[in-house]
Amino acid sequence: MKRIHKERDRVLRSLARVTGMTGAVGALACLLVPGTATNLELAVGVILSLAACALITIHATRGALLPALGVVACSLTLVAVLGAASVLDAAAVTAIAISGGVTAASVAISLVVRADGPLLVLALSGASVITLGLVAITGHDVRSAAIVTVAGWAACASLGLWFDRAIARTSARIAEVGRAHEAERLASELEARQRQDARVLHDTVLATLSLLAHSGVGVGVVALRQQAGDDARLLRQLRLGAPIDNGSTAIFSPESDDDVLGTTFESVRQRFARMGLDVNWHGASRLALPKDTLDALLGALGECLENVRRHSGVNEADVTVSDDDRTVRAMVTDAGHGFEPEAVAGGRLGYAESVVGRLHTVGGRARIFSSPGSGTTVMLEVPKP
Amino acid sequence: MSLQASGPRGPQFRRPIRSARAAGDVRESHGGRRLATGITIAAGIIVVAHLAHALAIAPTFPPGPGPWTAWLALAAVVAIGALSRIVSRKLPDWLYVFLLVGLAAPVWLDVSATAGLLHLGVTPTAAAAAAAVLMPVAAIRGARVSLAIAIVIGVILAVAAVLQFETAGRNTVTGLAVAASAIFPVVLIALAIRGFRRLAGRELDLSLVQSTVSTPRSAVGMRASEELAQLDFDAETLLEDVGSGRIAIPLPAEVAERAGSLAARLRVRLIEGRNDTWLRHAVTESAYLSHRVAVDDPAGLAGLLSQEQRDGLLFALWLLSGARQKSASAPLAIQVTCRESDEGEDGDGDGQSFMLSIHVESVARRHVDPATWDAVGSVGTHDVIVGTDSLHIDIDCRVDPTITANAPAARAAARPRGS
Repeated sequence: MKRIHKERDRVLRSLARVTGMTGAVGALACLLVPGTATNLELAVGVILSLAACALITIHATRGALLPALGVVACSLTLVAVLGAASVLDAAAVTAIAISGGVTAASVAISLVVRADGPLLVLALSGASVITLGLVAITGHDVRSAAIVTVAGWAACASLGLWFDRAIARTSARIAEVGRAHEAERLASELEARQRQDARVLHDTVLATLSLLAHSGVGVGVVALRQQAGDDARLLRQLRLGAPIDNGSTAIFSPESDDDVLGTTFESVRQRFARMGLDVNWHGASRLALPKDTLDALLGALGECLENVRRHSGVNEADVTVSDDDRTVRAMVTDAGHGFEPEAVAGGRLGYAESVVGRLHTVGGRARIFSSPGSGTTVMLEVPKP
Repeated sequence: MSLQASGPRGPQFRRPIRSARAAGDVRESHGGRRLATGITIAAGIIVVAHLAHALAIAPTFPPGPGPWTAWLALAAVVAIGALSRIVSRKLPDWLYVFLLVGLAAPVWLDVSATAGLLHLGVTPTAAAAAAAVLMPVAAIRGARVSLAIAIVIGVILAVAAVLQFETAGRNTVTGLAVAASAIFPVVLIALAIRGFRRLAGRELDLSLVQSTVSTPRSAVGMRASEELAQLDFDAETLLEDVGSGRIAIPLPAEVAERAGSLAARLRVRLIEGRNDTWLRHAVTESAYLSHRVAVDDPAGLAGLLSQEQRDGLLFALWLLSGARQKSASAPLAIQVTCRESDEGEDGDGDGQSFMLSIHVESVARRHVDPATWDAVGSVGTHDVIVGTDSLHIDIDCRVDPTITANAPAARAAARPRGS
């Protein structure tokens, strides 16, 4: 059984319970009006009403068929007991009407959605009408009770049936919306991933934005314009998802291709050259590294060079790349102010996240060697596959 | 010049909004309309029953128009309402108010026509039918006003019956029953509508959240991804303006500040989310789970679960958070904790496992839907510890790294490419 049908049945059964309880209590209240029923009738009425309340509650919690049939049996028995009296007064007729048209009919709300529901409800309502017919044969006028009974069964059954139809329609629509939403999510997840993966691109964008945040002071106007324009173009390409096959591919998404690696280093060098920092490249420029590792290494390298450019006070830095069987090392060296690593390293979020964090995700690490007045060396290490 | 005004706006990112709109659509129009149809039919049955009752008691009326002027007034109000609804689906508010006030006419005519006749067994009929007419109104226009009007009609009928107690005697019971018949159907319909809305809302929420199940090991979340796209676009616009010379260098202070904040936000967005998993997003995005479930999974282990395991876990949380709580004062709270197993990775290397524990506060085991245990079982082998008013479920989640490695992002992270 589909879960939504379970939920539907739960709602319908609770509606049936409210209806059945109201009917049982209402009929009992009619009987309690002084003079309506003999003591025996009242006792039977109390027992039957309580039984109906208990059974409809059991039906509402468990959903079994038998208690529901018990509810109908109790209320029809009450109708028969009251109808057997020689004289029917207004309160007794009202009790009969409520028993047949509310208490008994309440189960139609939840039973009608069963596979055999319509037949079952038809049979049970038929039984109710026949019981009333038996009362009528004894010469009582139960027309109004008959009207209430028929209307009660019909109204309850139609409520249940249309609730079921409404749920069926809604369920189909929900499934449709869910599928569409899943497609949306996968698309947006993919898009976000592409953007996050374009780390080298974002490194240069962040560097440029940082320059702009300082109003672009200290960098040539033409170089800054050129840099901003290049970055905007790359961002647009990323946004439009267009294939990028000129030289900037390397910045955009470096592959672990030997040639591309060289181009990538070169593009980093050019970027810093434009902003006034000359980077001298030494050592290996042909490395086979997985894309993630390479991204992390280049990203960390870019951050280090940016730090040199901003804080060292010199306009030249050396990058030495070397490797052995297990590790690739990149050493960024400058001959600038230097600083006390103890005093800075821990507190600077930028370094911790952008360099250490980045390398950490690919199993690498970073070490700083520096002291005031004697320049700075940052050693970046990433493992080889 | 502001950034927004300076460049052309790019494509708008409105995915979640679109989904939200579709979601609202589900509840309001589709299923709801069918329910309204059913309620209208039920109301029609009740009105016809009152009419039959009126026919049955009409001979006892003293000579005169009897109950029929009231019935004609009711027919007029219903006809105007039905016709104008056929002409336009959406009725203006003033017409609604007019029709609702118009219902006073049949009520007043009926009560005054039947006044002093209760000892003959003559009760109001059109007035009670007027209350039944409010049932479809409750389905279409919200239950509160209809319920209030139905109660007013019921009280009027009850008062009218009680005032005739001197002459009517035992027939007062019938009068009171008619008064109750004016109120009860509307109450029941209000409950049905509330149940339907709640059900549809819950199902829809689950269906939307279930989409997290198919995301890769670590997921960014829809909102974050939208924000990242927006930040990229804002950065693009700003850089474009600088590159093309629309913004002067050195930059105006306001633009420089904007560039700084853009960089800061972009940096956060690029770093974050690496350990966020589908589970966190599912809980955050769900209206039902978000204020009941807390997730403690710093290592993002939940991302290792296969799609079936995720389905089971989400559904189990769903059922648990829907369970009846022990008392209204202690709210239901669920804590999900993921921890590496003590043994760590298995020696044979064909799989690994972690412990996932679900702690549920203020729920008794017997109130938990039995389907929960099937759902938990599909996540892994589990133990249940039952406390006095809490449940603790320990699940040993065995995960197959080759399965998760199939996800596009996990592949890049877990399996080195190349040599």
